[in-house]
Amino acid sequence: MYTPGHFDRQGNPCTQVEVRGLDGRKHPLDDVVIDTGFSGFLQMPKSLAAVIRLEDGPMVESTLADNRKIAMETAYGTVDFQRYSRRGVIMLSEALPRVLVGMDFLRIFRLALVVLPPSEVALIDQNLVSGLARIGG
Amino acid sequence: MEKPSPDEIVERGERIYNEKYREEYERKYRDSFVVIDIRTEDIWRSQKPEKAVEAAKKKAPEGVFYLIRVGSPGAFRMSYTSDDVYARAL
Repeated sequence: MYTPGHFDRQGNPCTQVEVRGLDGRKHPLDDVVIDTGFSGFLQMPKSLAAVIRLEDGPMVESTLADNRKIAMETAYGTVDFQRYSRRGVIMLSEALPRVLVGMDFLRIFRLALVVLPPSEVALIDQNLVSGLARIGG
Repeated sequence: MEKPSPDEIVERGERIYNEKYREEYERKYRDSFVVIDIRTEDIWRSQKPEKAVEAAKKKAPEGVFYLIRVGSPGAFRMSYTSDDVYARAL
């Protein structure tokens, strides 16, 4: 699997996903930032989660980049990427207007992020990277 | 029963974890994810957060849950700061 992404105007690598609501309907989300500094699965504005209608998840405390802690509500939901569907903890943000995917997204979908500056970004199957490493090693 | 506020869930989840589980879990299960049902004080553990949540929801569909990463200050790490500079830059 090789999924081309794109950079947004701020230079963030981005991809596209679909999030399923409780009614099973898929909601396509474009310009989803691939944020490798975020250890979780997916984060979205709370207002968007209310529109999509997601199942309640646990409360969590998250650690911000300045080491402060913030309590966050979450949802537990299904995300579709390419032909795969996976469930995970979706962080709900009061302040951040963008949708992010983080390191757990890459782990759960078994993806590697490939960035080829200045203009190319892609998500590829981790098995492909492992295969290349074996050839190279 | 009325659902507690987010702050109450965090406060009760932390209290239950500190009083019943912290000593044993931080010795045995560091970096695992645990979900606590603050109504029953039951706990579920996995190396993966989604597995811990799935197990908790299966056993206690009406549970009120708090998720912790054992031995870590927060369950997840964010790349932006509290003054939200990153958020505004995006």
